[in-house]
Amino acid sequence: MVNMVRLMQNEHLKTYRRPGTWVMIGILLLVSIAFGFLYQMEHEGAAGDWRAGLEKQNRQDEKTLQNENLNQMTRANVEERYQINQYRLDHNMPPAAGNLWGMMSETAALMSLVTLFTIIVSATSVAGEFSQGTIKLLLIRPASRAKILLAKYLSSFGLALTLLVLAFTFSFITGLILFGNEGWETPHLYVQGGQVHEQSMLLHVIGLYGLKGVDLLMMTTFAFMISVVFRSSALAIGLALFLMFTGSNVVMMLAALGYDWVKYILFANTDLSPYFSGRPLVEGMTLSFSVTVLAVYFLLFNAISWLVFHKRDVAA
Amino acid sequence: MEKQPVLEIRQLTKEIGKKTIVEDLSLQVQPGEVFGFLGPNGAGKTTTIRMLVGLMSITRGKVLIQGIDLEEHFEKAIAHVGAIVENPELYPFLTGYQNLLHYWRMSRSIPKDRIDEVVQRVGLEQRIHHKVKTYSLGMRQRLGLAQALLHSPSLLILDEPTNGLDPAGIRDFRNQLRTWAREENLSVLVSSHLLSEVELMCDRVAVIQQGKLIDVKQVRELVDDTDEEQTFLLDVHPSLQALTQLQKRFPHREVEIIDNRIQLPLQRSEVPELSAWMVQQEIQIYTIQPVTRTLEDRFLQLTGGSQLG
Ligand SMILES: Nc1ncnc2c1ncn2[C@@H]1O[C@H](COP(=O)(O)OP(=O)(O)OP(=O)(O)O)[C@@H](O)[C@H]1O
Ligand SMILES: [Mg+2]
Repeated sequence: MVNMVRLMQNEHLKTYRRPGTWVMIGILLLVSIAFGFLYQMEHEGAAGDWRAGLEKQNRQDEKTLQNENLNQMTRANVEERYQINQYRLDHNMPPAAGNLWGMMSETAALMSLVTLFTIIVSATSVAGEFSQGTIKLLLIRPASRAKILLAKYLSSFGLALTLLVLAFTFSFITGLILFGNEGWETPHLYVQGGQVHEQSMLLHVIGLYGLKGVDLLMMTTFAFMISVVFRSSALAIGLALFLMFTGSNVVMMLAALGYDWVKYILFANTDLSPYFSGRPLVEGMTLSFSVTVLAVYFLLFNAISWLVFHKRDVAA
Repeated sequence: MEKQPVLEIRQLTKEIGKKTIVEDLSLQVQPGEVFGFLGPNGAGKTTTIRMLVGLMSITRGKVLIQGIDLEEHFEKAIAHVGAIVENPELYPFLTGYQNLLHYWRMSRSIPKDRIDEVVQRVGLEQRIHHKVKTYSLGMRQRLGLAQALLHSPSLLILDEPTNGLDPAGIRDFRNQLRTWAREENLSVLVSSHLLSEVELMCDRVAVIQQGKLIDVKQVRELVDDTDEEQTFLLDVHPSLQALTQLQKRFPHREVEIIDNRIQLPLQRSEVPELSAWMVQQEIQIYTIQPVTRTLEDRFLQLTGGSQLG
């Protein structure tokens, strides 16, 4: 009967009064800014004549495509690149390298850091209550355990959203300062059904961040479950990170070995980008298949957290 | 009509695995009563209390708080309860006030001023805006009490609340508990293995051992239980003369003199007569004092003198 908003305010209070949270925010901001400078260093002097570069690349690609023994995957990728390059040359659209958008597409990697921090915060928010013994005074209130757990879960994502917005904003501002608004209007190009399409760069970059959000959602939910079940934040953080960094490689290896069942593994489905540009991991996998698999894992993780938390005898 | 008990426990049982930790426990706590819950280490006091506040599931039996079934209507029932289970663990990285604010947000329809009110009540005004990690144990206990009183509960459940307090702290706490019980119209269930504690604090006391209820008694009843013989100390003058005379009067009793005082077993009812007699014998009486027959003695007797912490 206690209002959900108040429970979330409480979680918010606890999260932001922990010194660790501010250290994480600080690190994220520093990395966002540093990322911009690194990107600038990498692309310095590489500007040159973009037309000459693309033409040279296309001549190479033409040769590659003449090779009969080329495997299907590579052929498709090269063909796509060739098509887009040609489109750029025809429409006088320089690629987004060494400008604001080029940088922003790369900084989507910051999402891994956001995911890492969200995992830490969500795992600590449950396991911390147990290890500090505060769980006792928390659960003897007129709020059901389900509500308390939900408040914790949702506030973890509240923090994730804050971190995400901070990372995005800071790298955007860094990008503007370093590269100005050159190439602002240039659209993102992608190939679909043999045709080159244009898309707003801003939307494209937001999409890149968004796709990484799948990892964030699933791994945080996973870490949350582990921390509820084992009441140990270290275990939850360690396991979630280990799986996050090795999971996709293992899955790729298994797929390369031709195992078909690999498509039911969570990590075969967390990266949705192949459905928008590229090829799926296993032939025949579709966006709706992956979304379904993700939904099943999501519900499973949450159901386990809820059941265990609901039933648990608190005897710490 | 009898008043509805604030807390009613009916045949409460807790089994963990094959082990029965609390067995068939039934008792009632009446409005305004300070009820002691006494038992040696491992008797099952904490386990019972954990069930009363919903931290542990109930294997069998019922808990009614203000007549509301705890298991069926947890949120409604628990709203009447303030509790500290074992140590009051609060958030060390928050201030005392932030801790209370946190619990205030989890209670229903309590005005915010109530936070200041309870802070005053437990005497923590000076330090309430400091971080809890800088608090002494006594201050933490006080803050623990503040959070338990915050939502004006009708039942206060305290598990060994004086653990770790110094003698002055214990005395303060005892006095305050009585005051609060009166002023806030509280019933209190307080567990302890410190028997002298319960004796001074409580109206009634339940003695449990190995998860079973052994006895529920009025403290007074438990202490000076009828007219059993007990040891009295007599400070009289001249003592040696008194000794011989008393030995003559009670030839079958063990009358001794220790530290210039006479020690002898007596029934309470014999005391007035004895003192009158001594006056007649021109013995000067300074004090006649029972070597207090404490709850501890009774308790040891009830529990068969089992090991105590
Ligand atoms: N989770 C558990 N699993 C198994 N046994 C348990 C569990 N919790 C408590 N016990 C056992 O139940 C018994 C009662 O423990 P409890 O903590 O309730 O005792 P207590 O009366 O509070 O003792 P103390 O005075 O030492 O605080 C003990 O023998 C203890 O070992
Ligand atoms: Mg105990």
